[in-house]
Amino acid sequence: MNSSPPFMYCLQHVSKRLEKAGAVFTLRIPDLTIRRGELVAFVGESGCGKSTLLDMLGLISAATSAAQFDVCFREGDPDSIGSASESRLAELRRRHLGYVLQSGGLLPFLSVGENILLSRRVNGNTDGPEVRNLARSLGIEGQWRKKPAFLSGGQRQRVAIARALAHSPSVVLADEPTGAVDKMTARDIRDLLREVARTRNTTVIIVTHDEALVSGITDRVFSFNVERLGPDSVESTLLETAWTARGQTGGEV
Amino acid sequence: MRESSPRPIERGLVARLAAADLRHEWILSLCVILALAAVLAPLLLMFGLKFGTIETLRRRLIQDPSNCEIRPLATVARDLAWFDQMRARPDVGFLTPTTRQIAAGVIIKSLSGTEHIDCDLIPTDEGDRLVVENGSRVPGPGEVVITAMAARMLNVKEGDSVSVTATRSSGVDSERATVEMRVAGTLGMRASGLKAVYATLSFLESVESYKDGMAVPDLGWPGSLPLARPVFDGAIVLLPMALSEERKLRLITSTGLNHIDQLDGDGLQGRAGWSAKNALVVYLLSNEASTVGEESLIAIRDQLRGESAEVLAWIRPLNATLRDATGYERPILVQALSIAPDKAAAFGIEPAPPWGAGTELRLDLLMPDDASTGEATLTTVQAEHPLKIPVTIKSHNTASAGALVPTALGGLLRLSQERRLRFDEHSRHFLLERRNYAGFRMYARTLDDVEPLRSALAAEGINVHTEAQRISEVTELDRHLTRIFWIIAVVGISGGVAALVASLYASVERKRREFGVLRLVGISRQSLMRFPVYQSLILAGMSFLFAATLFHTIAMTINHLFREQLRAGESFCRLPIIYQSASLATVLAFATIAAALAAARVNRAAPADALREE
Repeated sequence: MNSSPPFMYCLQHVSKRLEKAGAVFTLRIPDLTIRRGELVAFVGESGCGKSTLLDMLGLISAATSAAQFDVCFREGDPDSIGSASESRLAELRRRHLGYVLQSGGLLPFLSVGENILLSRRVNGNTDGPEVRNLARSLGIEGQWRKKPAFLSGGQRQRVAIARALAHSPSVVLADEPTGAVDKMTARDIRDLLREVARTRNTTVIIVTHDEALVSGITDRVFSFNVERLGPDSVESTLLETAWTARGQTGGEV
Repeated sequence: MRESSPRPIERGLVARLAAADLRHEWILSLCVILALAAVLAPLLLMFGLKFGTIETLRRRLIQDPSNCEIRPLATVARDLAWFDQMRARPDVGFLTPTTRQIAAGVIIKSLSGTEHIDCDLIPTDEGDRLVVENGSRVPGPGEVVITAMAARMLNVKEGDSVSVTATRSSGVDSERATVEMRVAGTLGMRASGLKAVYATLSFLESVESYKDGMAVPDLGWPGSLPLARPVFDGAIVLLPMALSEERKLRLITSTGLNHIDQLDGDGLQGRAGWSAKNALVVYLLSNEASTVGEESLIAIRDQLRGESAEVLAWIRPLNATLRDATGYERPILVQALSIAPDKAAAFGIEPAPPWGAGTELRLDLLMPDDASTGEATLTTVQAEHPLKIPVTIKSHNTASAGALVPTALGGLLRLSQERRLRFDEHSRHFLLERRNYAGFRMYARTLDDVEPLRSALAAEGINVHTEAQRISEVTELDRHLTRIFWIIAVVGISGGVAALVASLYASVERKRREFGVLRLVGISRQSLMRFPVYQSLILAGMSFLFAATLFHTIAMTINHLFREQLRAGESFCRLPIIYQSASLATVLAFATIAAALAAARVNRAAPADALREE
């Protein structure tokens, strides 16, 4: 039965309020629906709330209020996040989400191979040929036994992508995945992520400050409208942007 | 519909991650392990030293029977009944009476050599720990056990014969009596540093008797005999005429008797077991509370001189069993009567005893003629210490009468109900057995029984010497050492826990980013809290292992250094496996507590913040 909606995320009137040292920051998401296999980018300067949004989508931070915050990582199995337990959230995270962090987010005490396998092991799976194939396709098979400390920035990000994909998740969340690498490598990584979305039918969500990097290659782009409401109050609202409509920064395709 | 059977997180994943992290940061891990071991190893050593020394002292105390010894400080006077009663106490391990100290010296001489020494003679018996736990067996009759010192001076060993000589002075001369005895064993130096021989109590009694001037027929030692004198319950007076009240009163005021009753024929038959049909007046003089001796009868005879009175000793009927030559045994009631044949005829006494009025001891028994005559054995049954004596049965034909014995025998049988007597086969005399013993040798069953026994004896007015001082010193030392140990242990363990908490806390703080990643990967908060706990347990476990290895090495060294002060099986520094396990459990428990404090930090860390710190 396939009557359930084909969305991965469906958010309606979600807001997140953060208070830090007396300053209040509010992120508003009027409407956000992300479908299977989409490559989505959230673009914005630091402080716009893009990471806050990613944490909510990554199920590690809860919304302050929400009319609707549903996820449906597997067809026919929707969850309303507001009512899910901590252990259910941890279970959803480890089964359906893959993360790529700015500088890889690799565990320094595990080898490349162990880091990649970690996302499988938390799901009770072990090594398998498909993992080796993945590593080979990412060009990091030769680093399998090394510790992350001995890798270059680009290699680390590839390992991070391999770990994010090793357990065949429904969604890959990439938080500034190119923040710590040079421009050439950044493009390689971006292309890899695009490849993933296309060939694996995996939803890829990229958060970046680099508009140029993602211009023209994503299915959808979101940005933030930041308003200062008072001396200690900032509100940021998520907007869907047609990339061509903005076009002020000359990003390469 | 929920996802069908989600696979659980791989088992032991968090533990493996924790271990991998420790391995990765092995230098830091080693630092923590060394720091903890530096706390644990001295604690284990201290515990081991305390345990080892106290245990060694305790075991020495327990193993040496002389620590359970209880010695009277002054002469006591206790009879055998008291000894039997004390011996029945569960806390008494061994108890034997002793003779007077002054009468317990003998001269021992080796039969093969010429050496002779003065020795203390000490009684022993079955169950004497001092003897059996110091390399000998308990001596039987004709045997002695000799102390190491005496054995060395005499140059004798087990199986040799020695002569034992007791001396006594009679006036100006010194008399001596000797008996040859076999050495049943020698005692180790631990038992006694004195020149002494251990022998049976009866041998000691023989020596004491000899020294007191008595004969010891069993050993052929000459001297006087402690002859028993008969006692009576009263007297029967046969008179041709009644006495005035005043004379009756005078009769009982100076004779030790306090009752006077006039008896008729039946009364006499009933009270005395015989009848006197020609007697006009019969009085029974008696005393309910005590017995009287021959002198009372003499006093009565003096009072009645010139009255043609016959004064006869009277005893209450005594229960006894009679076993004749055919082996037939029956219970009888024994009464006593001795009277000259002419007097018996004059008073018409039935039955008239064939032995007349003689006062010398005759072992005769007069029975109704349905009984067999000849040699038989009479055993008293009422007495506390039954006497068994040979008698010759004579018969009479007075149907109404019971068993009669001569007055002398009857009085002695009566005495045997009050005092311990012995029938001496050689002299065919009744001899007085000793009444009391002057002292004792006592061993408590265990060290812990010493004190209760001491107070029980003190309550009876017997002050004793015990090794309580030594025992309480060890207990005291144990208590003080334990207290000191705990103070140091608490300080040490606090330091160890602080080091562990600090190290784990710093580690958790350092790894906020890694914890954030692990949370993102899908490891729940609760699972992640186990991370520092596992690390703590691994670090503490390895520290303990290291400390225990150090402890064993140093303990071996210490025990080796002090091996000359130690006996087999003893060690100065020792920790039984159960204590080691308990220490390990304690260390792990504290490690878990330390880790829980650090884990609380993990729980507070928001993963999102940690991830983007730089």
